[in-house]
Amino acid sequence: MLYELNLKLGGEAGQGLQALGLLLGRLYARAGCHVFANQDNESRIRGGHNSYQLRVASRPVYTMGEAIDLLVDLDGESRRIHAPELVPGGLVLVDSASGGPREVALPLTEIARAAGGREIHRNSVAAGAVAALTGQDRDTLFPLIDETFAADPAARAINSACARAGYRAALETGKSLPFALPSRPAGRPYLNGHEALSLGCLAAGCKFMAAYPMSPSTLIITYLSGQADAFGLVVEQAEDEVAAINMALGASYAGVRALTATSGGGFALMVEGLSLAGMLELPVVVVIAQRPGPATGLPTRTEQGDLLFAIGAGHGEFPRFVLAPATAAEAFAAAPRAFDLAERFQVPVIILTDQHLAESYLTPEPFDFSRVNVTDYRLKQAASPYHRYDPGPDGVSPLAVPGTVDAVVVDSDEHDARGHIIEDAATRNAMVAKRLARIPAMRAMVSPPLRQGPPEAEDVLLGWGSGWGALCEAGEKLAAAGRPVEVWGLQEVWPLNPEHFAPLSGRRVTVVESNATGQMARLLSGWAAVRVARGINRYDGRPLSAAYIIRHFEGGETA
Amino acid sequence: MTKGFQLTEETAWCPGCGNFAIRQAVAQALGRCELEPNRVVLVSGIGQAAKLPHYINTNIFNGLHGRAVPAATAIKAVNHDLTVLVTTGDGDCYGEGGNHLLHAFRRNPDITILVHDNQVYGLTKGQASPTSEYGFVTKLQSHGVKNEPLNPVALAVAMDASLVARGFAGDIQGLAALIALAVKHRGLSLVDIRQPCVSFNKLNTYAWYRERVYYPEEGTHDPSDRVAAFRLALTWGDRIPLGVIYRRERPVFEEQFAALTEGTLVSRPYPGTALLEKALAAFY
Repeated sequence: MLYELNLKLGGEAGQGLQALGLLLGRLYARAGCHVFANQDNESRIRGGHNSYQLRVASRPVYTMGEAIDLLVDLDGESRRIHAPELVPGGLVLVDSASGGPREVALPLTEIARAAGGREIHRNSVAAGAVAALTGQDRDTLFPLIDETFAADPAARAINSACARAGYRAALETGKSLPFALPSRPAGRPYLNGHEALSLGCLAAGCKFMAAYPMSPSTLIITYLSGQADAFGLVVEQAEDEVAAINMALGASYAGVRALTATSGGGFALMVEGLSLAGMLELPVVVVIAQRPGPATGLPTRTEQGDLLFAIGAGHGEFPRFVLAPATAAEAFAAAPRAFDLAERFQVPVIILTDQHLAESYLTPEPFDFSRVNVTDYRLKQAASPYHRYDPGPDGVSPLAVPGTVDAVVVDSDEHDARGHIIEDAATRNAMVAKRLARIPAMRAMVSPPLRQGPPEAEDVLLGWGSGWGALCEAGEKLAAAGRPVEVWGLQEVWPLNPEHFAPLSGRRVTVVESNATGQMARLLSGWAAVRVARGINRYDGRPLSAAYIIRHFEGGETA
Repeated sequence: MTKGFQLTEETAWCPGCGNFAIRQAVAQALGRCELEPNRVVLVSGIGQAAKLPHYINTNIFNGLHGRAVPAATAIKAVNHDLTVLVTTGDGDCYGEGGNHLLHAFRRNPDITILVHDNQVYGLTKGQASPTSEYGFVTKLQSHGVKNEPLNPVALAVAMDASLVARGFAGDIQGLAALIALAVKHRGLSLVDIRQPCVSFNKLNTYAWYRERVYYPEEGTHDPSDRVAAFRLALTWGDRIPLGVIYRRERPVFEEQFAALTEGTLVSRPYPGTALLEKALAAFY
């Protein structure tokens, strides 16, 4: 039996929406459901109107649902703002002793106080009530509450009492949603794209990170900083993005896997350092968590507007990889992949995420760490004298760790095989050729796009990065409506291997992306000879959804 | 005295440049510290000073203009068994890299920053630098520099830098002793090395400096007295003090990471899957 439940929590910044959403997400994940959750936040610390939406389903889901079954109103405004999104028969949980026919009226704050808490504890009352209204087992909820507050016995007691009171009170209303769970399979982790990516960095053996805080990238350094003692990392908040990437490059030179992360504006400051990585041939991984630009743009929202920027960034000519993982599971895999490619080819690797991927929660299959490839490409023994830029297979030079050989010499000036500054034309030409000689082997390493749906369908919906989930859902819905399409999703977006795109020949290709100017469409036209029929573009800062894609695909609208 | 530190014949420096003397002093100082060349990393940015690492046989990270300090900080954090020095100029360190220097003072990595301070941009052919004197005329500043000069020594004392010193390229022996002291000091050392530019600075010449520089007499200055250090740092004009101006033991950046208590970061093994499984378990 298929099931799906869409929940929305509405409230002001500072009212604890995230904590409540996290708790409920984990609850459904533990119950064996697939969950997608997403937040809609304004760029402010307190007040305003924010929402946290959970889609709970019997199969993997990657986008927001289109209508709400249960709305939790924590600010007194949500019922008005979100009323049009409610399905017929949908319910609104309100913090009040009385309410209308569609409302489940529970005095959440009073219940919290009666259970020994304060106003903030009404979130646990609400968690209990939502669990009861959606038919969740108390044996799943109550241990979760206890574990969530395990570090603080007093908080655990209050929140546990509040959750139990909310659960009881909701049952007493006699209201519920027709939502049934299957027999309970193994639970899945509940995490967002950047948490998954951060775990991937740990699995890759990343030991150093420097970054300057910038939404929506900050979660990565925050998470890794929290793991620094356990995993033995050095994590430093840099004074600016310029310092961050130069620190990462210094760390890489000294012999460890190094990371930095930022958003488009911060990456603009890192561009000079990216070029340095290109010249020094130093492995480094740079995460660009995209948000709408130009300039400050919409800081808490999403866009795929930095594709061509990432591919073209940096003065001078040097190779790099650009990856754009599709989901949380793919973000986990992208990190070790990025570190491996960076070290194998001694190039910068950019991982393009976006706010949608970064902050949306998913319930992927548990990660298998034993399958992560961690190959150390640094020399164990080097010839003497060691020359950092001696030509090697595919243009890749021997990479030694300073202190283990006579000298490791790297220079941002053009240099000879020893790494020392030169001016002569012959050496310059040889070094340019050596750096670029890696490109064919790099291109051969790039994975082909993800594909789903009938390969013989005339229509192809093609997207990249975090657009994959919405594209797949759109493809399934279109097929169900009698209009078969094949869906393509690029995850390794640079360099492009034109051979991967041969199956698109003669078909009607619609490129779907979260930007206004069709950057992937232009890239494919220019570099892979793909004939793009048209583009579906979204640039209002909101994530792509199946409904959005279908509406524009069928209606022929282009934006 | 250079103990394995070899200097190249060829350089891109002007004849008579103070960089030759500074390089000699660096080699002497490193030899005196009984270091091996492959255990030393010279980190630099861009400018004539930043070329120094190429002319000595150590590890070299010659990065971007102004960006040597963050790279050096990270190199030291990754392998604190290496000795890390930054060779930089007044434009590189106080202009382009000014923000990094401010925060390096706060972090206090155990590195030595040698600033070849000739009060002019050499490699770009003679423009004013952050330490050029008010009124200093150049091709670009044809009506004279309109900004007051930066006082790097006073800035470093104000920032509570762990060791602050001024050297003079006209005194190789004194400079070598100062650099050796700075290298041995645990914490960030800033050595502002006054150095005439024979090509573009006709004002602050060897003769100009020789008339003014002096080492405070033994026992007349206590570098641990910050107020006295600040007073000495402000002394400029007819008399220019050399030597250690300020010194304070402070917690070192790389000593404060739990990851580095048992050894260097570069020598740490892969974490292993049990630890990863534990991290993942927190998401259930």
